[in-house]
Amino acid sequence: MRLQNILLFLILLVFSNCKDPYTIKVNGSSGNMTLNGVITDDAGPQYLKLGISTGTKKSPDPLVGALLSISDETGAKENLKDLGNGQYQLDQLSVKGRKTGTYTLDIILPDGRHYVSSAEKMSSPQATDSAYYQYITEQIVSSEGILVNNDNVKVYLNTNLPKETEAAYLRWAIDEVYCIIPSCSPRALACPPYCYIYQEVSKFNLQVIKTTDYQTSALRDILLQTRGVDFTFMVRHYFNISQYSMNKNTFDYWKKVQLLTERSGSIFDTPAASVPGNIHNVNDPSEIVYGYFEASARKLTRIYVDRGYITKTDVTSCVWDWSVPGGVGNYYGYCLNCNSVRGSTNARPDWFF
Amino acid sequence: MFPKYQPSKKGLVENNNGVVFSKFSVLYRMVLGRGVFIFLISLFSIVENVNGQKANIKIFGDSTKVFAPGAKVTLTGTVVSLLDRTPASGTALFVDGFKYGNSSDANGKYYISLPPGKYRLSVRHLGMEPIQIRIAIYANAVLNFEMGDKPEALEEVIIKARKEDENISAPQAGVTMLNITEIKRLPAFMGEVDVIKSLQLLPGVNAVGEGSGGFNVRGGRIDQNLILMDGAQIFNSAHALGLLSNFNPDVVEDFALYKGNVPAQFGGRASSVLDVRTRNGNFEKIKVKGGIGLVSSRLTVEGPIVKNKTSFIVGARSSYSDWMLKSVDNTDVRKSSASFYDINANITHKFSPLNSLSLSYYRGNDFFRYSDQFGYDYTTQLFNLKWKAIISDSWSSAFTAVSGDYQSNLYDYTIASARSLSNGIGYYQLKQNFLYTNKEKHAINFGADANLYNGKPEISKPYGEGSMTKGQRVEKDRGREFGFYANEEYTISPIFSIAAGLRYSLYQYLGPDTVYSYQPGAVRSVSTITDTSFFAKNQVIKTYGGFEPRISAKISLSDQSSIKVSYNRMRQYIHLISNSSAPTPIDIWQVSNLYIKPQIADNYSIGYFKNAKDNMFELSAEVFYKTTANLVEYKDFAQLLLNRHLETELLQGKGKAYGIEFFAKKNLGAWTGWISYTYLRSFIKVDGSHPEEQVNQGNWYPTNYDKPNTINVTANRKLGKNARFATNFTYSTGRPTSALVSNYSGGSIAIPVYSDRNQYRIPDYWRVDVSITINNVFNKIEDNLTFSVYNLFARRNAYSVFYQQPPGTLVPQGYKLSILGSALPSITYNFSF
Repeated sequence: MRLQNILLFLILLVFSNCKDPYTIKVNGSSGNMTLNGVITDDAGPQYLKLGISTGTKKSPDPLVGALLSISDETGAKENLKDLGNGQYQLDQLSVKGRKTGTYTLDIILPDGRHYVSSAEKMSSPQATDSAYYQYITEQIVSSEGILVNNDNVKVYLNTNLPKETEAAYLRWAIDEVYCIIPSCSPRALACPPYCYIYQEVSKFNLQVIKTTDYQTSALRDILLQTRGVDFTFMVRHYFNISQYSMNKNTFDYWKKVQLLTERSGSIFDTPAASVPGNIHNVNDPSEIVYGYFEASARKLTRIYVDRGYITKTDVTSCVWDWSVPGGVGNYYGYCLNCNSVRGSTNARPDWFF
Repeated sequence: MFPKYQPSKKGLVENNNGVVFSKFSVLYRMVLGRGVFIFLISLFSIVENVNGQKANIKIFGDSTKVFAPGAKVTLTGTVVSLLDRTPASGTALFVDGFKYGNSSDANGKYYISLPPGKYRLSVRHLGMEPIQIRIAIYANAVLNFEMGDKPEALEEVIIKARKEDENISAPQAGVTMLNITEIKRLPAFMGEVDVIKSLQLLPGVNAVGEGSGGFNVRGGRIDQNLILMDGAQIFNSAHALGLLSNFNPDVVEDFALYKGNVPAQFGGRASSVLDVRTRNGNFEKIKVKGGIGLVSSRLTVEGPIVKNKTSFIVGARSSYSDWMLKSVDNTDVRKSSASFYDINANITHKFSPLNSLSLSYYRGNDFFRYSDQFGYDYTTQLFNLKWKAIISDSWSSAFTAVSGDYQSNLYDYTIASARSLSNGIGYYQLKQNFLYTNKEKHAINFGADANLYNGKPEISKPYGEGSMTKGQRVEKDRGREFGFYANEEYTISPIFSIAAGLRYSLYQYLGPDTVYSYQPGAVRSVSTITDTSFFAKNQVIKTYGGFEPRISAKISLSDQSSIKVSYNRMRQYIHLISNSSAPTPIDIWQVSNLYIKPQIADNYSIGYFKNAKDNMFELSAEVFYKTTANLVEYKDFAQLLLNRHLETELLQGKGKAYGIEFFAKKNLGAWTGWISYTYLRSFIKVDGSHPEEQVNQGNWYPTNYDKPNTINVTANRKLGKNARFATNFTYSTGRPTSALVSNYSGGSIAIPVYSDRNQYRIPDYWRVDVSITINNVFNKIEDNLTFSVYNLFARRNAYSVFYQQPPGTLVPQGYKLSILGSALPSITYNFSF
C-alpha cells in the first residue's frame, strides 16, 4: 500500500464519524391527539389534519368523526367538513382567512372530549420572494466508506423582507410536484394517463426568521432544499415554495421545531424536549395535545427543473421492457402503475405545463 | 551520581566491616529575605560495594546502648536537588521493614521516628535518581540528601512523588495522585499523553463521552472542577473538543486530583480540584525534549540563562492535520480545518537557595472548521508570577499573581446568516499562602486569595461580505471573590491523624450592570419585568459568602490499613451556563448575580484503605455522598446566547450524588497497573413553584453524566530490556438522554415528541487501547518509539442518540453518532538530549 493510501486510510479513520441507525427501547407515548393545521389568506378550501399519536414507529393514525369549527374575531363560525381520512376541510363560506384576522379552533371528539386552541391572529407583513436552483454533483463518503458521486438539485431563495420597524416572523415551507409518464406497451390501444404527484418534501432546511435579526432587507441565497436526483426528475419537477407570515407565538413554536429537527447528535445540539402546542383540553388542561393551530398569511413562489438540465445518466424515462418475463412492462413499479405513488393524481394542475 | 549525606555531630563511625571512611565538614550560609543564619553540619560517609552495587551504611549513636522498651529515636534532615540545591518537596522516605515512612515538606525537611535499630532507607522523588542506604540508628540524628536527576528521563521506571504508603497513612481521603511517568505508560490517543484522559481511568472520574471536554468527578458537573495550572485557573482544559487536554506532558511536573477532601487553600468550585504543576527549567545545562507524531508534535527546550541562578523552559505543541484533510476527495472534509497549539514558557530566578521568582506564560488555541457550515476557535492565555520563599526551617511562603483570559468564537458560515459570536472571561488572581511545619506533627497552610472575574461581552458580528445578519452585543457580569483559609494536617499519633481546615469565602457581584426586577411570585420572563436598575462600575450589587469547613481524619487499623472519613463544604460563585449534553467552547462562564445564587456542595466520604505485600498492592473502597444546592439548570429550548435576561431561561435546583469506588493497584512486579470499579448515581431536582419552573414535574432525574457502572483496567508489562507493553480497558453505562416517544406531522415535517428529560440511556461504552514502546531506538540520544492503537476493536461507541427524518418518510428515525468509530493507530517518536 502506498504511503498516500495509508495516510488516506488514517484520515478517513480519524475524521469520518459514524452515524448508524439505532433505536432506544421506550415506552411509546400513544393516544394523544395531534393536529396539523394552518388557516391562510388563500382563496379556496383549506385543510386541517387530525390524528392520534401511535408511538415512535409510525405517523399518527387519522382521527375521524370529530366536529371541528373555526371562529373568528367577528363572531363568525364555520364547521369543517370531515373528509374521512383525518382531513377536515374549511370551505371559507362564513369564515375566511384574512390578514389581521383572529381565529380559534374548536374540536369535539366523538367521545365528547372538547379541545380549544388559543386565538391566533394572522400577521400581514410579507416578503417578496424569488427562487432558483443549482444542479450539483458532489462527492460523499458512502456508508461503506467509498467515495461516490451524488447528484443534487439545490433550491435557493432570495427574498426582500418587509421594511416595517416592528419584527415580522416568516417561515418557508416547500413541496414538490412532478410528473410520471408511465410505461406504455407498443401493442396497447391506449397508454395509461400521466400521473402528477404532490409530495411534501420530507426533509428540508426549515427557514424561520425574525426580520429584525438582519441588517439588510434583501436576503440572498438561502438554501431551502437539497433534493437528490432520481426518477422524479424524469419529466419536469416543480418546487412550490410557500412563505408564511406568522405571529410571535407561532414563530416561537416553529423556531423550536427547527431546533429539534436540525439536531445531528453533536455537542452543539439543542437538548431534546417536546414542543408545547397551543391546543388544550377544556376539561383537563393537563392532557397533552401535540400540534399547533396556526393562522398565517401565505405567499407562493414556484420554480421547476426541466429534464434537459439533468445530467445524471441513470434518470431514465419509463420504457416498455421486453426483457421482463411475461412482458408486463418496466419493472419499476411507478412506471407500471404511477397511481400507486403516494400523492398521485391524474389531474394536471393548471400551472403544470 | 551517588548521594552525599551529612550526619549530625553526634554520629559515630565504626569500621567493623572494613569499609572506607571519609570525613569532612560543610558550612552552609543561607541568605534569607530578612536575615542570615548559619547552620553547620558534619558530614560523615561510608561507602561499601555490595554485589557490584554501590550501597551505603550509616551508623548513628552507640550500638551498644540499651534502650527502654518502646524507646524511639528521630531521624531528620533536608532533601535538596543536587542540581540547584532547591528543596525537594514531596520526596518519599521509606524505611523497609518498618512501616513509618514520611515525605519531605515544602522546605524539603523530613522527620522519621523509629525504634533504635538497623534499617534500609529508600529516598525517592519524581524525576530524580532514587537513593537507598542502610542505616544503624541509636540516637537522634540528622541525615541530609542531595538528589540528582534521573539519568534517563525517558526510561519508564515507577517513581512516586509520594510515600509508598501514603494512600493509607495520609489523613486526606479521596486524593488521587498520578505522576507523569505513570501516565506516559498508558496507551494514548494519537500518541499524545494526556493528563485528563488518564484521570478518567481512575475511580470516580468520568466524562460525558468521547469528544467532550472536561470531566466529571463523583457525580459533579464539569464546571465544579477547579483546574489549576501552577495555581492559575483554567476555564477550558480541552484541546480538539476534549480528545486531548491543554497540559503538555513534557512540561508537567506532577498533578493531584482532590475529589474527596479538598484542602481549605483551594476554593471556588463545588466538586474537585485538579492541581497541575509545571516544571522549572534546568539550571545547569540545556536540555531538549520532544515528540513527533502523525498529526501533532511537541518540543521543549530548557536550560540556564545564568547558570544555577536563572533558568528557562519553553514547551510547545502543535497539530498539523490540515494537510491531511486537504488530500481527501470528500468536499466537506477538504473544506474543513482542525488545529491546536499550546505554548508554556517559564523563567525562574533564584535570588538565593531559599528565594525564587518565576514568571510563567501559557497560551493554548484551538481552531476547527467544518466545511461551509460552522467553526469555532478558543484561546486561553495566562500570565503567572510566583514568588517562593523559605523563611525558616518551619516557615515558607508562596505568593502568586495571575492574569488569565479565555476567549471563544463560534462561526456560522451559512452565507445569509454568516456571523461570528464571541464571548469569554478574563480574571485576575492574587494568592498568598504560608506554610508552617513542625516536625512530623503539624503542617499548617494559611493565607488568602482574591479573584476578580470580568465576563466578556457576547459580541455577534456579521461574518464575511455576504452576511446579512445584524450585530449584537450583550454585556456580561463581573464579580470578585475573596477567600481566607487555614488548614492543618495534624498527626496526633501514628494511629490517628486529621486534616482540618476552614475557609471563609466572600463574593461580591459588581457593577456596571443593568438589573431587571420581576413581578413577585410570577415566572421570570421578559413580560414580567417590572423595573430596571442601573449600577455604576464596581458598585456592589449583591454579596454572598459563608464558611467552608473541610475535615478529614485517618484511623490506622494496622500498619497496612486505615479508615478515612471526610466532610467538605464548598461554595461556587461562577457557573458554566450550558444546555448541551457536553460543554461547548462557546458556553458562558457566568458569575453569580442577583438571581443566580452560588452553588453550595456538601461532600461526605468514608473509605477503607489497605496495602499488601510491602505496598506492592494498594486496595481501597470509598463511599461518598454529595448534596448540592442551587445547581444551575435550564428551561426547555433555553436561549442562552446573546440573552440580556439570562435569568429568564435558567432554573436552579438541588443535586445529589452518591456511590462507591473500588480500586486495586499493583505497583511492582512484571505486570503493574490497576483495576477500578465505580458505582455512581447523580440526580437533580428542579421543583419551582410554577410548572414553567419545574423539570420533569419537579421529580428527581438523572444528570447528563449519571453513569452507574464504570470499570477501568490498566496493565503494563516490560518486554525484554527495551520495550514495554501497555493496555487499558474501560467500560461505562451509557449516559442518560431524552428519547423519542412519539411523533406527529407539521406539514411535511415529522415533529418528534420526547420523553421527560434524561429518562433513557444511550448504549453502554467500552474500549480497549494498546501500545508498545521501544526505547533506545538510536544509540546516541535517549529516545523511544511508541506504537499505539486507540479503540483496538473499532467499537462504534455512541456519543449520542438523535433523531432525524429520513428522506421520503414521515417518521423520525433514531441514529447513534460515534465520534471515533474506528481503531486509531498512531506512531510517535519521542526524544530527549
